[in-house]
Amino acid sequence: MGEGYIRDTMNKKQIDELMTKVAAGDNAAFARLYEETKRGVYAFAYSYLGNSADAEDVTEEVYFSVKSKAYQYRAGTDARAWLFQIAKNLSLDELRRRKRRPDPLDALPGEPAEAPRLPALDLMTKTLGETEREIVLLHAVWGYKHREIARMTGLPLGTVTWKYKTALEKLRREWEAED
Amino acid sequence: MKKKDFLGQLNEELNDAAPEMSERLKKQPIRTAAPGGEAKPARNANPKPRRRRPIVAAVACAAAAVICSAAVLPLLVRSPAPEAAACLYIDINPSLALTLDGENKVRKAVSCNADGDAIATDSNFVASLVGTDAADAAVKIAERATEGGYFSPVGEGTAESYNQMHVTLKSTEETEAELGEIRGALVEYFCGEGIYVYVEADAETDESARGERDALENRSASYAEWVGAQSAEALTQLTEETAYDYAAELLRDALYKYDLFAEIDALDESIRSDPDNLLGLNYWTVDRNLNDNIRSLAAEAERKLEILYLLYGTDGRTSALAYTTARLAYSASVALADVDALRDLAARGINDESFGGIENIGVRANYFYFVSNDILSELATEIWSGTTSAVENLLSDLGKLISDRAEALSERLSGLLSLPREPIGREDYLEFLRRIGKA
Repeated sequence: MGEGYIRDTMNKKQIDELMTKVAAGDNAAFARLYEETKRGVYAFAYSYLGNSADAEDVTEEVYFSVKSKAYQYRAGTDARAWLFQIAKNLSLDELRRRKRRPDPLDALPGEPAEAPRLPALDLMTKTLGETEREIVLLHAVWGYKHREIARMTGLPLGTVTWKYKTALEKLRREWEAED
Repeated sequence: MKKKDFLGQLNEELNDAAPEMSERLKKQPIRTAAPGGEAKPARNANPKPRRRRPIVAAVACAAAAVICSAAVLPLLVRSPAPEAAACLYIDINPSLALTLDGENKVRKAVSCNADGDAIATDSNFVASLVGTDAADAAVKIAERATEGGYFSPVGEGTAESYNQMHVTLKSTEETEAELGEIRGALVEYFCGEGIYVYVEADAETDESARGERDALENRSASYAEWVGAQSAEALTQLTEETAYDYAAELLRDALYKYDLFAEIDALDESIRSDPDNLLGLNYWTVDRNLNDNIRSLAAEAERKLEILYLLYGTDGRTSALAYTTARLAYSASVALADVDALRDLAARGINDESFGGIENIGVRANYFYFVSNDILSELATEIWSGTTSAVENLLSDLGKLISDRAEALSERLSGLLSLPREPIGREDYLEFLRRIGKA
């Protein structure tokens, strides 16, 4: 299993530059920001909510929030962290809303809606705890270094590194067992 | 075909599954900082359907003054209604301010504290207040606060602890009659609902009411957003204060649960040791009609077990075994807590001095062990370790904290609110006022 990032992610400076332009009303910059960060936001939402429909809804809500709060963004701060925090808060909000309402799909007879198959995301959601998922997503999808993750989460660096390693081992074992 | 490695598969899935930008999102305008630094209000072509959105950033408001209560209006105001004649401030703990026109009808509502925002973000509720009589609007807000768990529906109030709300009607003209009508409507509402609430009402006649009205008319409905527009430091302080308020509320609730178990145990012990209870039977098995003492103790134990069930989901109402099992589990979960220290903390109040900083790590550890609330723990860690610094994070976290707290209050008390209550008669209400030293 490969280590490191899934692909070349934009770094903090590049995302910050984009967000600064968005704050000035640059729609093209917003479109670029969306394309560069939507996978990370979606992955995060999916890891909490476990289905693509809710993850898509929350993803869209995150970017609505970005547009409505763009003027508050201060250049030089961490736009990725800001997006990540919004995604987390909105995902938790959705989880709490779910607790208070019955699933409308439960009430409908007939075939369930067609949902895309996402075996890797499902495996991660099923296999890892919340902290492990967060660390894996922050490093492998968002491109944060372990030291940065340690600072964000308040965990010691050694713990972050260890948790990432054991999380990937778990995922590898389960992934190969599904073969 | 060789199976992709996990990260490769994850990459492919995210490429396919992450949604394209919707047309609705594309059309949504970006709120930018206008020249001079003041934000332009957004014109939402397609308002977001699901999450309640914070209301537009504010312009300054004098605010201060004790009471505020008002409905909260979202962005839409600026209607050409007659000039407001007065301001009605309602303070329950949600604090709101209402501006009134010459006929005492509501024009606009604004939140005056963080808890007020929990009501302020409900645009349907706010819209239902506009155009209504001040007394009716005050009752609607009181009703909303009751449903939101801001008044305790149990108990008849003691000198140390009772429900209360405060209204101030500030006008350029004499308004004693209108104030009496507002107070009367509120007392009638609460007595009809069987909830003991002390309603304090004051009238102020002063020309400055006009300026206050104008300031309220021009500021944002959301208190948090208004504070955030002033400075990041002020918003940080508000967020910390709100988090501390929430922490204090959770601690009070946790201590109440701790004491509730102890009170039920004491009642059961009293039943078992009654001289007529020769077999020493417990609450669940004793004949309640054995004598008046046991009848009274059993009734009290039944009430407390009902509260335990409604507030905390622990059902020991009909089975000693169920109660004992739950009791042992709870006792084990708090065995290491220094409860005396927590009572002391609750009495002193939770603030930066008693709870923040490195010197209070032990206090926080004891607290979180006893209260065990994950939502607050996460937010508190960020705030108190200084890692949440960006204004947008604070606004987002504060909004979440406010809505979490409102939801928690509402959920906690919804069961109790559903219990039947007898209306409170005039004599009982007067006795309540005497009991709390207000008559």
